[in-house]
Amino acid sequence: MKPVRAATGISLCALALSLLVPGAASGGKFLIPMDLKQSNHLKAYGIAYWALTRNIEVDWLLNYRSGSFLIDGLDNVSAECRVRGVAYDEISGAEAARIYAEIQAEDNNMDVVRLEKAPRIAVYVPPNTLPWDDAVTLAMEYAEIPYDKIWDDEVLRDSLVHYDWLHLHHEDFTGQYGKFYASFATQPWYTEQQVMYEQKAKTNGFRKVSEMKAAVARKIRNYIGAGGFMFAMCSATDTYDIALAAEGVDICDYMYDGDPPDPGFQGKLDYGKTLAFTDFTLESNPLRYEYSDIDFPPSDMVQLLNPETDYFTLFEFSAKYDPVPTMLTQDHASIIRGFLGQTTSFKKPLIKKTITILAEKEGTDEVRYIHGNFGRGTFTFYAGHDPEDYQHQVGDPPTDLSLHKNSPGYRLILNNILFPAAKKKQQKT
Amino acid sequence: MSKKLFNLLFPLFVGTVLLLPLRAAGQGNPADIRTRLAQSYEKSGDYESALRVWSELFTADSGNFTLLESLKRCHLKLKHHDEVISLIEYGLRLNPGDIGSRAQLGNVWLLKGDEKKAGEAWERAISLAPGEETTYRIVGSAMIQARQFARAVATYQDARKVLGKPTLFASDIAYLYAIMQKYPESTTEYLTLLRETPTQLNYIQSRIASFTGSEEGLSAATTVVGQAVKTETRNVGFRRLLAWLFLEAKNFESAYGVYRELDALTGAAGKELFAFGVRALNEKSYAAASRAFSELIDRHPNFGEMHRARYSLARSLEELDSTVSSGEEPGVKPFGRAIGMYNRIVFDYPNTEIAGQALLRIADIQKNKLDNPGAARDILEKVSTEYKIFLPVVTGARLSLGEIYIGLDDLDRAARVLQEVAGRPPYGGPDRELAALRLAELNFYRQMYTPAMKILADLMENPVSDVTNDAISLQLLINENEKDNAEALARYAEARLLRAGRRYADALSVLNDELASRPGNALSDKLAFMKGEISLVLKMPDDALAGFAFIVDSLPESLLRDRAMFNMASIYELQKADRVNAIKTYELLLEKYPNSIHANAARKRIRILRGDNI
Repeated sequence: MKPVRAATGISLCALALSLLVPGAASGGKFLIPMDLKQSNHLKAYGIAYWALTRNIEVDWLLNYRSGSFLIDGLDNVSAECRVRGVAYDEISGAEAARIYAEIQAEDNNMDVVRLEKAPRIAVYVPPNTLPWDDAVTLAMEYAEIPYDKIWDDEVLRDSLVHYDWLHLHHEDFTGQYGKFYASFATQPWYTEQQVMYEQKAKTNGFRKVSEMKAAVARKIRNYIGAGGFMFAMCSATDTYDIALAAEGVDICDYMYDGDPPDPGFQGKLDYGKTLAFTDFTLESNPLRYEYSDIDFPPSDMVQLLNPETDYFTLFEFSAKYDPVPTMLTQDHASIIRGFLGQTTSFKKPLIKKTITILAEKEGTDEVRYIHGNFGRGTFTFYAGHDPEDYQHQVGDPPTDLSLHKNSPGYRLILNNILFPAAKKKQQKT
Repeated sequence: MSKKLFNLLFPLFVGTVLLLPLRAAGQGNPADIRTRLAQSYEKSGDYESALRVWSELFTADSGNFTLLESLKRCHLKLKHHDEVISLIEYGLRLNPGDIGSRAQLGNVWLLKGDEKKAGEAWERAISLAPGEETTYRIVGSAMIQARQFARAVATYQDARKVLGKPTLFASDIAYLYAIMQKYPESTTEYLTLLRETPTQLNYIQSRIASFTGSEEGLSAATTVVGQAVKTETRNVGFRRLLAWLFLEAKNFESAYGVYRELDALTGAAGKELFAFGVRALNEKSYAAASRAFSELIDRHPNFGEMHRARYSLARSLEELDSTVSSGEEPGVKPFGRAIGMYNRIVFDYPNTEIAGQALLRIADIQKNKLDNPGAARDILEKVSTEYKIFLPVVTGARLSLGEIYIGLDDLDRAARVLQEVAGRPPYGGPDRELAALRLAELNFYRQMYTPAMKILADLMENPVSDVTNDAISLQLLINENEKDNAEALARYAEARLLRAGRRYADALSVLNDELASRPGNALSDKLAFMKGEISLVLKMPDDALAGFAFIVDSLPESLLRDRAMFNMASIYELQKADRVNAIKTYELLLEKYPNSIHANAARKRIRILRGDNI
């Protein structure tokens, strides 16, 4: 007899019992398919979140019809699905049991994860308005998943303990203001941002913005270490690791912090402090719109990519033995259209060996989506800026997600939001 | 070789031969070689090696300021702040009056983290030549480079006092206040600049625009400029700036007040008011527009573009009356003011295009707002005969006239006038296509399906026309019912003609008779739907509900069921204020017809009714 897999899945017995939950319509269930039958994939995540906020348990059926959800057949669930335009199938208790059995069969790469608690979500976002949008907040707004906005003050005062999930907005943790100096130094939003950040650093007792941002990065690392979930996109990924590696080292030129960088700053980086990247080389030209060689192609050489052929492939994982990467890669498409960002992809040789690669451009060293553990928590980095706007420029209007409600690229973001809702399981013995 | 060429080349040859030894000596000069070596080190980022070479060179030539600068530069790159300070002080001993170096000393002290000594160095720099404007400029710039904006502002303000020039550095101070987000102070400084040089208004507007994008910035600037206008009532630039700020805030009422004053102050004789009125009208701020045009007409009877001012006033009044229930005012005829002004235009500018346009507007009001097609017809007949030379006017008149004749059941005249506009197929042009569609509809009302279908087929040759969808719809209706359902089609056409003539009760009678006499015929849903629509026009929501409910409950094959259900929900919501049934019906629509084109609107309505934060 095989040992009970306590680390993944839930027992059939528990599932059978759950079919008898009082209030469920005749023991029936609602299956929210996430394959091509789904009319609105993004809002479907919102329904799952909405159910969790009402203490309705949700089962996430990994790899079953592209990561479908199974929810108790309460009347208000179906009404809410209809109101939000989410397709669902009403199924009987017997049909639900058949689905569970199919999922649990050893020869099927599927599993069930019970979602039981709506994660408390924080988005790290500056209080001023900047001329670009953020894919994660767009996704959450569209999916109607509530979140709080926090910034440096809250992070430095340890407010992160109140949240299960943290998203890093398109942020530069190196203190170089996005390296927009060459193009936007005279723009009101740029000067306003710089002054505001400087005042904030001073108020928080830091001499330089770069020092404050590094302290924020360390606080976030502590949050992850204590069991938090962190998700970052675009330049918040590589600048976060650069800031950690450069602790105590000045890597900013005079236009960013008033003095030159430390001589030989490259040699002073400590890669042992980073989460995901190692052995990277910083871009020493302060006027170049690029931070390091982690990113490919460099931000000023995006013409190296052909939008017509720029696709990346999601890896497939064992649902029963690797539920976490499986959750993060649930999608109705396995090949996804690429999209540019200040950080477009991560160079594979510069990714630490302990990191799980979730998606990459096949046949290249261009990695788009990675996941890793740190302490008791985890983090996910997703390269690129906006999955439905191939080259999102400064000043472009935000993407209207009602026109992209089946976006496979945006689904990856929302997988991350539900991931902390999964029931914590015992470790395998 | 010609003599001329020899004479030209020989001096060049001699000069080259003479200079070659000098050049060779220069290349071999050890100091030059080492200078180039230091420069190469610097260029490659090897500041340690560069510093070593510059130090050797400077030891050998310690009065050389170029070498001193190179040394300072390398030490700064290496963050050797103490060494930089020593070198600056050394340089100052050689040249004690060097304000720039003294100011730079302040910056280095700041980099070293000693704000007090930085402040002392900058003060000392100013004390070297406190009576010179340049001194403050140099020190202020050094402070800005060190991002000490508040200190820079203080320095520039000190300069004003010391030099007795209260407007000095206004632009610099305004800019610094703006980036410090001190918007009232920034605006005050820009006003100082504007007071001194009124021609700078556009420049100042562009600078202030950098912070009026935020509500806080716009409010601060408006308050400050508003106060300045009150105290300096004759300053035209201030008023123009205030008017611009009000327009930025879309506050047309306040902007109007400022333009009135500007018009009077500048002796513009109405030009300022006219420009404002046109902008307000375009921005749909009709109250402000009508006031501006009224004042212009009253105060400046000789205004050069009086006809345009009057027409714009009439348009503003017409739009105002459309949005406000003018019938509520006792003694005021609905649209009376607008019609009065249009008539005055016709009287004062007879037989002009603007008079024709004014008549068209009056006819439109009579036809669509006052439900007086007879009066509209009389006006349009006059326009179509007396204003023939103005093609856009006469085309508009005939199109409208065709619709009126149809409504008045004068179908022969309608056909004639519409034919004049439509011409021959292929029609081409929006007006001609619309006239052709009306002709096809007219033939349909007369149950002359063959000529109707001929026109519709011609219309569909242009698939991008605005009327194509309507043409397809009518063509389908005729095709599907002409043979097998001719009687019902005839009754349906009759009801549509009656509705076009606003004879709603007669139309309802035809519809009810037909629904009762031929229940379940293929046109029942269309008949019942029209019944619902007409009942709504007659403000009979229960009858409307019954019409739509008949489709939902009794005609399971109808393609109009989702639309009927949506209309029922809307009646519950908007006519009967029955929130519960409204939500229930919208939800039913989503349940039964999740892919309906009305589904998104139904979802939105449910969420609004539920009070969701969407």
